[in-house]
Amino acid sequence: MRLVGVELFRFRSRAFSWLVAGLLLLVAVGFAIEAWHDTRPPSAATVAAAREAYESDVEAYAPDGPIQTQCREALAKVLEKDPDSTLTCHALPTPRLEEYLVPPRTFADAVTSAVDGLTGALVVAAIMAATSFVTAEFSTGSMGLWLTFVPRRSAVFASKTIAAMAAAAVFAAGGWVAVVLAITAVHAASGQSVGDVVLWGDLLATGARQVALAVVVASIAAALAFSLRHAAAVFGVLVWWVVSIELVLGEVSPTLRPVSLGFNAQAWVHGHASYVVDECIAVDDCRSVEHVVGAAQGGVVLLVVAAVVAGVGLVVFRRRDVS
Amino acid sequence: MTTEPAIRTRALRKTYRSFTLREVVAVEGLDLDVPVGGVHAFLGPNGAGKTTTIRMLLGLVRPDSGSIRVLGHDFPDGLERAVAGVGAIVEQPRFFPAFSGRRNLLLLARGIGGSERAVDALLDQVGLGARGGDAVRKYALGMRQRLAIAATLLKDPRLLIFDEPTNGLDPEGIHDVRRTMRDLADQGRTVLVSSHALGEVEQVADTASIVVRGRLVASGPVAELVGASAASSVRVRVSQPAVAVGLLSAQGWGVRQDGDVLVVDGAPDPSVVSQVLAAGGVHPSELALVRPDLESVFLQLTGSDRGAVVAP
Ligand SMILES: Nc1ncnc2c1ncn2[C@@H]1O[C@H](COP(=O)(O)OP(=O)(O)OP(=O)(O)O)[C@@H](O)[C@H]1O
Ligand SMILES: [Mg+2]
Repeated sequence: MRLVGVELFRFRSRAFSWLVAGLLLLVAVGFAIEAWHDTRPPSAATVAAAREAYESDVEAYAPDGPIQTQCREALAKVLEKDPDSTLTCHALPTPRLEEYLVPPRTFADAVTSAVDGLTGALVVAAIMAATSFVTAEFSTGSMGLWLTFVPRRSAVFASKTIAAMAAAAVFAAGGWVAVVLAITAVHAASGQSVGDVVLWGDLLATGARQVALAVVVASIAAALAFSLRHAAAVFGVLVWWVVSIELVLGEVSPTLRPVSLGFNAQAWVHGHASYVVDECIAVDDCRSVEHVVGAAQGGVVLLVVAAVVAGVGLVVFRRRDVS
Repeated sequence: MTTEPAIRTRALRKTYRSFTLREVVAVEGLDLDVPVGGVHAFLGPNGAGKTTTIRMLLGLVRPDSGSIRVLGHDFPDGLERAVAGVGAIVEQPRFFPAFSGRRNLLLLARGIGGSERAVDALLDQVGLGARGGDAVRKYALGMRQRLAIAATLLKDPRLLIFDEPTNGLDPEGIHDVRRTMRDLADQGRTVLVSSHALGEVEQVADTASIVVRGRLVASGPVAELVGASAASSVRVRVSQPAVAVGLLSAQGWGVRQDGDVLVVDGAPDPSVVSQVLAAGGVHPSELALVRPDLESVFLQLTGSDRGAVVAP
């Protein structure tokens, strides 16, 4: 435990940690700007254009307007040929001005979509912070010096990994709070109601699962860093995984979708995720079947992957020579 | 009770495997004994396996076979307790370049439950008190070396291991490092210092072990090693080399001539050479004792093939 404290002290001392925190703040600022745009009343030009479209439609749709006139002329021709036709010209609804203005975005819609979009940023932040935290130790060579002070490799592995996970939790929670606070503040300032209890319950539940996801991702990144030692190698493996497993495999065979970590992460964060497979009973009797993966399954898959990667990282780090 | 050596290895072996699966035997059957107290030089040419051995002594590198006992603790079980009493600098001191010297030491101190006050005291002790807040990136090599020495002292170690500590230092830095090693030994600690040049550590080392290609070829008190392996020679520059060669050869000494410079082997010391020449009317314009360097010791020791071990 003392070692975890030392590692957190080291983490706090790193400029890179603050850079990642700064990037997350930038993401929050971006969401705030978007929310501000969403809550602006429409500009005079927009209103004028909408009114113009509205007025021209009112004229066009009027009972003696061009549309109805055309219809009656066409109908007259039809009735000439076929007096028994039951076709009629229906009266058109009267347009309303509100329909021509984009409705202001609701707080619920804005905050929910922002929180959903935040998952990727939190995962990337966790990977960057955890990977560089461990690989910097190898690339500067200070791991060797550290091991002459703390020779127990398992303790070194555990303390650094736990510190990276704790840091990822703080980053994810901080990033989440910053984004949600920014959107709430902007919407509240524009006079919208932001106090829906059910909505907040959902948001907090999603946020908690996102923090947990960031923690698990950080443990995977740290363990990979212990195995591979170089940040470039870790990113190489991650890119290879994303391209070959996350993107290609699901396209090649939809039944393999549950192998994708992104898919399981989605199931975990949103409570469920689904994929569609064509199943054939006979050659010409196929139907699309939707398979649903729940949060529990997604979470378990992620945990198992994290445990395996951590196990490999620990064994490699314990056995490998350090120079 | 027999006194336990500070370091004792038996049949220590380490091979490195490259990507092409070619094996490099870095250390081969090394039996190293470092007595408690004093400065022990660990000598060998480049690639002899000194750094590899030191890494194994610190648990950084895992030997293929053989046994290690440091400060009375057998590896690998006793590694943690052994290393707790060892301060070491392996090759170049490696710190976090972006952190200040003080922060680097603070991290190490906290790793072993040490205090902030001890860090500041050590920074003052090695003369880095004023620069402790600067990033290590901005330190000159000599300052890094002093920071590393401060780091090794954090543990108040009984055994200090320095791997080529004077590499790249200026004469003043070399002098400082030597004095530090001597001071540490005088405080009752054991110092193991590796070097590829005997001259570098000759003045400061009490005992030495010499390794060549991963094997121990000699060990014992430094004076004996130097004395036993190769006698000193004397270099003279004279205006009449032909006459001088005659005079010196007549004494039964070996004389090699290179222009007006003669190298005399077998003479007891330079003053005798000077006397012989003066008696024959030859006055040398230059006279110097050529100490046997490690290379000639190596050549002699490896030439005999069996690695003559000089008993202490
Ligand atoms: N990590 C490694 N991987 C492969 N070979 C290595 C490694 N480290 C050392 N070697 C090889 O092992 C041998 C011994 O190297 P070592 O660094 O221990 O020698 P040394 O006595 O410290 O030499 P120097 O005086 O150059 O520091 C050399 O042939 C070296 O090339
Ligand atoms: Mg070396």
